[in-house]
Amino acid sequence: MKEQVKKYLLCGGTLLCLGAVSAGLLSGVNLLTAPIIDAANESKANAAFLEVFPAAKKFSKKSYFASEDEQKKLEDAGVAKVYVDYYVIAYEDDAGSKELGKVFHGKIAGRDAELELLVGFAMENGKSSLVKIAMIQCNDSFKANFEQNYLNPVNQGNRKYDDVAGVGATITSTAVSKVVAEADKLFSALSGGIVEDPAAWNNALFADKGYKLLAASKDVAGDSTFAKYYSLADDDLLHNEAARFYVGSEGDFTAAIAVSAEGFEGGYILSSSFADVDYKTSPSYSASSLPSGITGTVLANMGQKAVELLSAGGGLLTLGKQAMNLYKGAASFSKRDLHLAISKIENLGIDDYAWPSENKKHEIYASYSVLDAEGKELGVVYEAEFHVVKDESGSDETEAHGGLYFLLGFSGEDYDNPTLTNIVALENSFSRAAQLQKGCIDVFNQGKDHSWNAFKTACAAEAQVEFGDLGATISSHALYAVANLERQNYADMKGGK
Amino acid sequence: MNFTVETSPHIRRRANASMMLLDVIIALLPVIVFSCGYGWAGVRNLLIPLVVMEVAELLFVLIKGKGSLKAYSPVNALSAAVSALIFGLMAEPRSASMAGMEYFYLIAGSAFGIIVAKLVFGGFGQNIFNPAAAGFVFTRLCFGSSWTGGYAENAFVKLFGLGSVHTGGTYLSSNPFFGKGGYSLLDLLLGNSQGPMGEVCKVAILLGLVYLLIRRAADWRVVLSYGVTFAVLSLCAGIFQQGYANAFEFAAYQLLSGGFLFGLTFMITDPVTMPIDAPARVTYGMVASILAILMRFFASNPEGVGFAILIANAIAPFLDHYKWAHSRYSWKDFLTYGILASVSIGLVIAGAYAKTQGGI
Amino acid sequence: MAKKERSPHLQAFLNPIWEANPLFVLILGTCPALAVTTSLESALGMGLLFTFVLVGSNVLISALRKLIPEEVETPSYIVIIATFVCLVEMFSEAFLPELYSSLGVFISLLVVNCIVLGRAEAFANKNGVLDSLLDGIGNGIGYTLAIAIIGLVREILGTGKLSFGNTLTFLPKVSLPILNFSDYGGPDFSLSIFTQPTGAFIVLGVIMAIIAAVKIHKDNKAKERKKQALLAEKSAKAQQKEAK
Repeated sequence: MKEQVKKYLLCGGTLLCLGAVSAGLLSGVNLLTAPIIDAANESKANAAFLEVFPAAKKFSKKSYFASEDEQKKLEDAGVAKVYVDYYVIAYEDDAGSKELGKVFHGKIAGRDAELELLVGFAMENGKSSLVKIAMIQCNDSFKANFEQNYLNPVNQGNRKYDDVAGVGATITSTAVSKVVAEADKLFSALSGGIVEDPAAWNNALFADKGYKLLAASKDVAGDSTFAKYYSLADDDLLHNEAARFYVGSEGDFTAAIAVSAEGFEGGYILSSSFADVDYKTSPSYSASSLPSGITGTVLANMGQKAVELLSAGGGLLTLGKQAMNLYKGAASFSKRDLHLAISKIENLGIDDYAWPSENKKHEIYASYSVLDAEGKELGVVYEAEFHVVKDESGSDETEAHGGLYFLLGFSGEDYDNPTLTNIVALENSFSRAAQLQKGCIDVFNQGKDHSWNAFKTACAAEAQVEFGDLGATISSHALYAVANLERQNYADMKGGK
Repeated sequence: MNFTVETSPHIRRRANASMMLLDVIIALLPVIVFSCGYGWAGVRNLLIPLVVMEVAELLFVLIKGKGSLKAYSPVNALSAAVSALIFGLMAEPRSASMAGMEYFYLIAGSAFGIIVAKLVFGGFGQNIFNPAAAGFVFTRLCFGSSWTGGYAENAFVKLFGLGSVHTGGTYLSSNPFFGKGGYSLLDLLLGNSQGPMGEVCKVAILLGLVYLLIRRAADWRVVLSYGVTFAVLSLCAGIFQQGYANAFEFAAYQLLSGGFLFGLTFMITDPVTMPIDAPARVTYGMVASILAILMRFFASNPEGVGFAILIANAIAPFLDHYKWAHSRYSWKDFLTYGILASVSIGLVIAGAYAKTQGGI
Repeated sequence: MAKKERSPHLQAFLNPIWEANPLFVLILGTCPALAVTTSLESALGMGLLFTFVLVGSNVLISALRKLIPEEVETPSYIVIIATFVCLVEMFSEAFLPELYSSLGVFISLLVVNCIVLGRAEAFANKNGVLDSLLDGIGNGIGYTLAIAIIGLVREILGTGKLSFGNTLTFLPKVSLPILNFSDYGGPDFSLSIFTQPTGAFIVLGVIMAIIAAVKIHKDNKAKERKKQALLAEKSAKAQQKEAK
């Protein structure tokens, strides 16, 4: 018995000693190597941040919005964190005293995989401005399109980050713009700036009208009060502008003013130092129920200015207006709702392209008869779209899918070969959008000959520009098919054959 | 008493190995003639592996015989020819993405096939794996992505006046569970589709199959078990995919597309790589067929037949193990068949159901 | 003529390099041999780390062999080996980060590497410290040579290029095209199957076959020599008898 106990003690003791020694040794080595490893990992991570702020000398530790101060700021501004998980402050100097800006890290599911990106924002003239978007991971098969048409222009400042039309990698760009928008709001909230949430304003002021918000804001030049505006449309395709939110400030008071064709509609207070109204609890007021007191006066004032600004800029950009822009000397228009279905199609030489079918849809919505100052008709502009829904079974990426929403005007008496205006592509979301634009639409628009035959030639030619043999043939042929139907309708309307 | 150990194939007929190989070559003739309709692109696919494999076989006999060619017999030449022709027929008559590289691919593939899958094991009769299938797999894995040049047109197809020659991908390259890719049954039957040369013209393959069965060069048990299993599983998948009405059409498409018929006629019937006893052969056919179906439906690999046959080759010696090999059917065999059938049908149905739900 | 007897120390050192090569003859440690040999560099790096672990554990186990009771042999050896592996991991993460990220989990798998534990139980707990040290170095060199050969073949056949400087960053960054001239716009003759586990198995099998063939040839030659020697002796005896 004693022998056994002795044996157990010996065995256990040996293992214990070994364990203790090894634990001690490993923890010692850990103490030695851990800082080196951390430094290496940090410089690897910082390498990504340096891409966004190349001039920064130091980056703060990652902040996960955990501190109470940060949480309170986010709460006050009403910003929710969905895609962004941490941010890092970029400092201009080694000591970390002068801040250059903030880099936000966000993740979102894009087309094929998760997108991971870094967004840098800095304070410029008291407002948040985008510095750079750096993609850490992008597995989109349309990566080239995305980089060329969205990422690079946005980073160079030629494109707004929320403008995702005509990119050719729409899903990825939409996803990225969502992250950037959120980062924008977070930056504004953290820096004590003003968070712009036009969706909330829409809900507050136009809840019953059902307007839809266009994502991109537009800058206003040369006005002392207003810096930018957001557009609201009343149609599903977001091309008929119904109202605008002008964002501006008078001194410390910042608000978003709503104007429509009827005039001043209301205001949404973003920040105010006036004591008479608690704007945090009730920020929105319609024009008919402005609060009495200085807040109401200032709102009314700003409303008046906004209405003047709108009419000075030519008013709301409705589709009719855009139709008028196609003809010189146009003064007015009258609209006729159509909704034509395609019954006959002239084949431009692609077999296998059955049209219409269950995944190829089309609609001609309206025609606008454009008149000049004397009431003479200059031409008829058609508003139409055709849309190809991606076939679920096909994995073949060469099949065109997406849609084109466009305006095209007809004039002249020769109904077999009328004169056309430029093609205005209001929305071009084909996967080969750039090819369709450059190879077909631009070619026609910039050509001298705007006859129907020239248009037919432009559509029939393979829209092969710069992108090798993956042209946009099918979409250019579909454009022709819809335009042909418009031509037939124009001929019918005018009493021709 | 001296016992001579006979190497496989163990055939109880009055024919010998040379005659059997000759039969296979004759059965291959319709397909070869069809492939020559592709012009040089088709002929080179057959010629180059032939040369390479014959040379390799010759060198092997030389080395083994320590410099003398005494051991070289017609069987060597014929077996090398059969493997070369089958391997060549599994190549596509198209050019590589870099000009001239297709010759390298053919040479490398056939060299690997015959050396690593046959000669290293000891030559004719000693190999476990089908050398043509091994070469095909090697070529597919190494060079599959470089074989992207233009697909040659077939003179016979043009002759039959079948209208526009389809230039899309192989019928099965889109999801085989859905869509038909624009080919009609007649197209598939007569070779108006794209894919490896030998697999495309089903009529030619069927002629070969009939000849082999008549001459008893192919064991009808393997052919039957492979074919029936394939058909039944396709039918099950079709029932769940397209409903009862279209299930037979779906099954017909499956049977007429991809490497199924070619593998059935020429690769699974190779007597060297088959198990010896009849019950084991039925199991062999079933296993190869089940694996091919699973790869086709769930692994998005339309050419799964070659891979499936290699795996079945690997288990054939296991089926031959002396501890449980027997030549008469017993209840254990039927139990095995039953288990295999139910497991595979269950998998196919479950997978088909999941795909209709959009799961996979 | 009898072969010159090697000293036991030299024998312990040279044995594992050729006659009892841990990978090709004893067929131990095949998991990292197939996984990290996609390039020559990673193989060499792995061999280096492996040698360190093996030598350290051999020496320590041999030093403690009289103190560790039999019942807790295996657990103690595992603790010692695991300690060395953790040390190696931490050092490589800190000072050789590219090698660490390229070898990844296979450094940690050295704990259960058959060779390390096998030599500990078969050799180190029976022999002195010097012998164990030499055995460790010998096995390390043998294994490193083995996986280096596999890595060389796989890299040349599989990628067509021999590149240095990627994981062992103290080497200059060179890339020698041998079969793959695509960097210069030329054709690519590499067989990419060899960068995958399939190719690894094939290469391993071929090398093992070559080594086995050489061994059989040597054995046959030795048998031949013995036969000749016996015949010579017989004829010498017969001559002697005749002379008498």
